[in-house]
Amino acid sequence: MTERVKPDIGAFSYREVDRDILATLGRPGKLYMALLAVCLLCVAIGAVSWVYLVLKGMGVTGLNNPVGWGLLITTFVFWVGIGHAGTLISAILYLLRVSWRTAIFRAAEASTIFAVATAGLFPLIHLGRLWVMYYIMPYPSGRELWPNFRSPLVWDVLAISTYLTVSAVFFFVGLVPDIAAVRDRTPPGIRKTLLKFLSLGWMGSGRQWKHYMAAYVFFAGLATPLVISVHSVVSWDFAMSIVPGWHTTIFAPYFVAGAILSGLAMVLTIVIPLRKAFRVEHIIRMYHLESMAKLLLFTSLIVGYAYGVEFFTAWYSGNVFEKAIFTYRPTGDYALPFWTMVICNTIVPLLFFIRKIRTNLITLFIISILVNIGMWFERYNIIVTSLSHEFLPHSWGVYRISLTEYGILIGSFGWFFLLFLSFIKILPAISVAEVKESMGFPPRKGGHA
Amino acid sequence: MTSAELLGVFESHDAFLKVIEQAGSRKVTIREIFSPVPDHHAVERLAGRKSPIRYVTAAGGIAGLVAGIALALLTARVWNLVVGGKPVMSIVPVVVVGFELTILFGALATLAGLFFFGRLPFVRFPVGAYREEFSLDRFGIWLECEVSQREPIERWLRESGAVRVERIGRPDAAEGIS
Repeated sequence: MTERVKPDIGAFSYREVDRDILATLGRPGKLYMALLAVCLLCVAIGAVSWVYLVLKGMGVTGLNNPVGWGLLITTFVFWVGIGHAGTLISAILYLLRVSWRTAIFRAAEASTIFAVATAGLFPLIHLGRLWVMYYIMPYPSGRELWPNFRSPLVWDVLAISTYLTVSAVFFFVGLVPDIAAVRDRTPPGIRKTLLKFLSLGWMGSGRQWKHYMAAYVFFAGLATPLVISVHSVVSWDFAMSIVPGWHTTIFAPYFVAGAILSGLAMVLTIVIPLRKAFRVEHIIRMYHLESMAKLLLFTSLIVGYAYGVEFFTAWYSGNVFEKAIFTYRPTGDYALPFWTMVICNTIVPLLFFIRKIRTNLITLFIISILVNIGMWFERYNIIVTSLSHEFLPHSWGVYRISLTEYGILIGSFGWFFLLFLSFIKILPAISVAEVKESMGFPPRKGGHA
Repeated sequence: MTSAELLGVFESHDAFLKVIEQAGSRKVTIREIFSPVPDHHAVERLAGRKSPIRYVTAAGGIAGLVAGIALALLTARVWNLVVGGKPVMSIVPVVVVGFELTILFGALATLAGLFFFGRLPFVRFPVGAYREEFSLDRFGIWLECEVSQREPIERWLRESGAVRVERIGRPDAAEGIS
């Protein structure tokens, strides 16, 4: 399964690239339909579990006193983290003119939108009475402006909704020239009319490209600080409180690095089967996957460093409560999640130092899944252990995940992959215009070949 | 003076750029160009001035910053949560909310700017000169010249590397030249 590294896509013509990318929108095969059915089943499990939770109340979860945040908030933070790679690859790597982003950024952006949309469900589910969620919106009413922005939880609502909006705008604007390409290759009919509407009458004219290119740079410039800020704000949900294990200044960079690590892992998990199933190995090359693996390794080292620093500061501070929680994590009731986190996020990615492993599809895929698992356990480890083991022994308690919560977790994965699978059959999961741009312009005579 | 409109279709980007450069000396007006990819070279040679979108982005960002600061301060003022003698209107929330709304309003203003200056959505799509191959692998130049100059210009376009030259926007448009 080891492929040769071929960084150059210039051996193909614009026409071939167009044909191969748009072929991904063709009639779905049996494997696709089977995957779609599995996703729908998972969504059904999640929906039933949520309805059960709404009908019976929060008592059907494993939440208790003192552990008021469990799987639902863990999964919320996990999905927000997954949503980081898209904007990292789209915006930051665009501004840095990193060439390998072109083949994969669309899939990464889509995963961002769908992950953040999935994450957004969890605070609502965690509310229990989700029909009162509008209380958090700052609208004028008989209570005047109710939300108080001194709370990190309200910052979080603002940060996530801003991130979702800006990412969606960035995503849509990037799609417009490609929707136009699909429109122009589609025979007359309802689909073509719909694509005409969605492409906003895009013609690739000089006027349109001029303002498009200017706007795209600004979108990238605005999204770059945003991607850093979002998970920083999420980290402050924890770090602003005085709970041992949470109240630390390294949380923001630690969370951002973790988010990028998990996002990259999810993009790898998605892209590896995608390129195989749609036969686009000549567009999404081993070079792209290897570059992502290197970035994943780099962020894994940052995360590993943060894990170490947490223990060091707990020891060096001399604070008994900090020492207690950092002794409890690797040796207490949650030792298994802790060591799963450490092994999956810091030890397994070290294998990417070996070139044979980071250029092998099977090992890449397996390691990406292990990092996804590890990152979910990282969120679980941070949230649950600290609440279980606060200051006074009489307030300690243990949290066990209930079946209903497992159902909702499964549902969230089904929902995410359902959205992604639907997207890749409706619009191009690889950017047609940017892949062509990365190839350079056609020469005077003949095509590129 | 009666004018004629021509469309030159190019496979080679070099030839396309050369025609854009020489258009001025041939006394023809370029009405529009078409490209399947973002084309900095052509846009720089044709459009000259930078896109004014940057001013719209800046205005949106500043409006967002002011709105964010006002939102954080005024909501804190409406509900006085006095905790441990800490100030009701403190700096940290103002920074966070101000930052988020700067980004949000800046991005939405950029989108509005793109729509306004790029004339999107373009409801009159497609214009007569647009060809579907312009989203595939061809570059197009839509020219306007005097009727008397039409044939020399057609010849010039072909000699410059146009794979096809078409007459458009006039009753004799059907006489497209290949």
